[in-house]
Amino acid sequence: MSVFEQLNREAAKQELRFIVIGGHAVMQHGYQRGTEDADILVDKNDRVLWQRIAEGLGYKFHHDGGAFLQYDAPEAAAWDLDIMLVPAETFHRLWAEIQPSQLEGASVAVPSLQHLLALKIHALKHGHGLRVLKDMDDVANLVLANRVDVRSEWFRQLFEKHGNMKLYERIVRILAE
Amino acid sequence: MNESSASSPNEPAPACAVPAQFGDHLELPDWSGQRPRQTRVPTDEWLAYCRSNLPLIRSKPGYQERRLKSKVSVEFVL
Repeated sequence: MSVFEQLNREAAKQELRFIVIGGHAVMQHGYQRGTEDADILVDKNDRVLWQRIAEGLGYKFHHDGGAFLQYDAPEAAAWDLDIMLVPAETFHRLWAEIQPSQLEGASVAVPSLQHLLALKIHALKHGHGLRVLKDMDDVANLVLANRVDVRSEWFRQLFEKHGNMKLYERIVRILAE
Repeated sequence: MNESSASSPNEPAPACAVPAQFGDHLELPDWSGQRPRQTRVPTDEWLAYCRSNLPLIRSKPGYQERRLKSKVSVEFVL
């Protein structure tokens, strides 16, 4: 049983919801690339319940980053699990526009393209080192795969709200080459 | 004589030594005209392949440090 099937089963028992983000979500929006973990986003009010679920599934606690929790996989060829914690209102806004998807045998929710781009732009603004390269690559390829007009107002506003205009100009320049 | 044979036997070898002659005689083609194309591998097959590589990836030095640095600690608010 895949990690997503396991998470679905455990979440249903406690009437919890999660949204698949990270590389798995990027692939669901048309850009296939490598990934090393399973990232999910949850309401931070449910933090303790998700900790119990992860540990109940055999995941070993690795790190508490405040806005995220990291767990090591119980098996060599299983995804590590990272749990991103967001305020309830943010979770509800993301959930309102989710895209239902099939992933490794499970029915899951991934963010809408706009919301996934918002998450990626947030990561671009606050990330460091190689992470920035990966997120820049994701944003550029999501734009290409979904034929997003980078000059459109909604795209520019994502950078105004979650990133900055320097990042916006970089993306526009990269895609113009 | 290459660089490795010239070094003292007591000195540790570099982590990733490049042979001295490497790159001197390579004639590489011009790939600038290559057109990007989407893969035809179904996503779940691709993910199974990625998972099969995890033990190798985790065995590389610095994996855990890279993993830790790959996360953003600033809360996302929509």
